[in-house]
Order: sequence, then structure tokens, then C-alpha cells
Amino acid sequence: METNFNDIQQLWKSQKAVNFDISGLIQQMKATEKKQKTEWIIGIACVPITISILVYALPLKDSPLGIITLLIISFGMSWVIWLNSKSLLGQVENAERYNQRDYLQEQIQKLKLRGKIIQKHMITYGVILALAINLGYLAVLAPLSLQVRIGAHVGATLFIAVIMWFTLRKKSKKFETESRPMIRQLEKLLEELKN
Amino acid sequence: MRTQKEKDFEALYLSHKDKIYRLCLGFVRDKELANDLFQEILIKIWRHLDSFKGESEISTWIYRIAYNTALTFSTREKKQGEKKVEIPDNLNLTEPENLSQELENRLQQLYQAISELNELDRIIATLLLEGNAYKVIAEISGISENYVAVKVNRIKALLTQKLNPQTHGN
Repeated sequence: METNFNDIQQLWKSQKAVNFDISGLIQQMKATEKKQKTEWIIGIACVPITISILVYALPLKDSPLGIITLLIISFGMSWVIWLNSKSLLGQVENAERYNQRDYLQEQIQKLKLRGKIIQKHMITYGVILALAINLGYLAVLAPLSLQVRIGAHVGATLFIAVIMWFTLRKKSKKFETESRPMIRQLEKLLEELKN
Repeated sequence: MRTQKEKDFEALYLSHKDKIYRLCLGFVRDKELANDLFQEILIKIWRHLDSFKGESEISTWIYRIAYNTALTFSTREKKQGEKKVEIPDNLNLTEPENLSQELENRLQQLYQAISELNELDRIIATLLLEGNAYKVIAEISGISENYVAVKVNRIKALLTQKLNPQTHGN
């Protein structure tokens, strides 16, 4: 029976860690790191690859409108990659300076940014993408008849709108069921720390 | 040939594994979940080991990572959210030793008592049980030393009472 706190401390310290193959863990972590690094490089390479394909597959680089299209698409893609990287959870690089309060504040901020990306930034991205594609079409489809051109503009815009609508609906549902309760829980913890 | 990082990590693992594991059991009583959390903390320590610049004690740095991970983990577990850290499969986990049934029961009582505390008190309780000074607890939790002292008195009384119900008339 633990009659005082020192006894409780002794009891607490009697628990030892599970043993496992630490070398195996290191090897698996190194493999995971390598895989994640490759995925990140592929993600980053998506922008120049897409732009290169557009430059070589379509006659965009030959007209000012085409160049504006390429610039807008590059900007849009880079912006989305940057936003997503900022909303990633679990960053502990500053753990030397971070206490619990700072950590919770940052996690809440990141989770809220996820919501903002879905509710606001992704819509902006959709508009930017539609604008860029329509500008590109103005340049590429110039030799075709007016009816074909209008059809292509409307079709492309509707296509982007429908894709965005479905994507955002799915992401929004996921955010409400997963991230929103986490935000509430973390805010409750932060409130406890502040009181 | 092992790298310097691997050697450092192994040394940290050996010196801190028991503390980290106990912290995990303080946050999630279920042993399987505690093992997952334990691995997740080790993975984060490995990933960020290169970024440690010696601006604080290594143990404080490890505690911060461990508690921050535990907080996110327990929040995620409560809400059944996704796991952000990829935990390697097929790791050979074995129990350290056969604790006597009586000791095991008392430990379970202690974990139960800790799990009934709110998250902040749980952090303070586990740091306190490891014998950390108020200053360290304040540094890790982000609250003032005075507030830590207030909390500590309450937690000590509460845990002692919960583990000795007869002597406290409950």
C-alpha cells in the first residue's frame, strides 16, 4: 500500500519499457525516411513537369496569353503545395523552444489552416485554374470557329467547377468529422493551460 | 557501419526508454496503444534528432516531444482520427519482465487514477512521478512555477487518496 507520495513514485518507476529490436526500428525508420523524401521530391517536381508538358505539348509559349497561362498555373500549383506543407501536423523542429502551450497553439493554427484551405483557398485555386485554362484556350483555339471556342471555354470551366465541387465536398466532410473535433479538444487543453 | 546519429539515438533510447514508456502508460492505459505511442515518440525523436542544437537539456527536449506527441495522440485516439506518423510493422515487442500480480494490480490502480485527471494534470503528474523539479515541469508545460506548485499539491493529495481509499475515509 502506498501511504505517501514517495511510495507512489517508487511504484511508478517500477514499470519498465517494453523491449524491442531498436536496430530493426532504426532500419525501418531509415527506409520510411527515404520513401518520404522521394515522395516529397516527386511532389515538388510536379510543378516543373506539368509546366514542361504544357510548354511542349501545347503551343502556349509562343503567345503572351499562353505565357500568362503558364505563369498562373505555376503560381497556383506552387501556392497549393506551400499551403499544404504549412498545414502538416506534427512538426517538432522547434521542440527546444516549444512548450506545451506553444505547441498546442501551433497545432490549432495548422488545423484551422486546413479548414481555411478547403473553405477558401481551394475555391480561389479553382478560379485561378479556370482563368488560366480559359486564357490558354484563347491562345490555342484562336484558329477555330467561335462556336467551338465558346463550347471549349464553357466545357472546361464546368469541368473544373464540377471536379472542385466534388473534391471540396469530400474534403469538407473529412475536415468536419476529423479535424474539427480535434480543434475543439486542443482548444479545451489550451484553455486549461491558460487558466 | 553505424552512423553517429544511430549511435546517439541508441544512447538516448537506453537512457530514456523507461521514462517515455511510463509516460505513454500514463496517457493511454491500453498497453497496445501505449506501445503505438511509444513507437511514435521514438520515431519523432529520430526524425528531429539532427535539429537538436543543445539550447536546452536533451531530456527536456525529449519530454517536450514526448508530451506533445502524447497530447496529439490521445486527442486523435479520442476522436478516432487518422495517424500522421507511419509506424513500422512487425517490430518485436516483448514485456520487460514478469511483474508480480500484486505489483501489476497496484500499477493498474495508479494508471487508472492518472487517467482520471485532465490532460494538463496528467502531464504534471507523470513529470512529478519521474522526480522532475517544478522549474522543469513549468518549462515543459508552459505554465508558471507557482501554478505548478498549486497543481502539484492537489495532484499529490488526489493520487495518495485514490491509492489509499481506506485511510482517507472513502
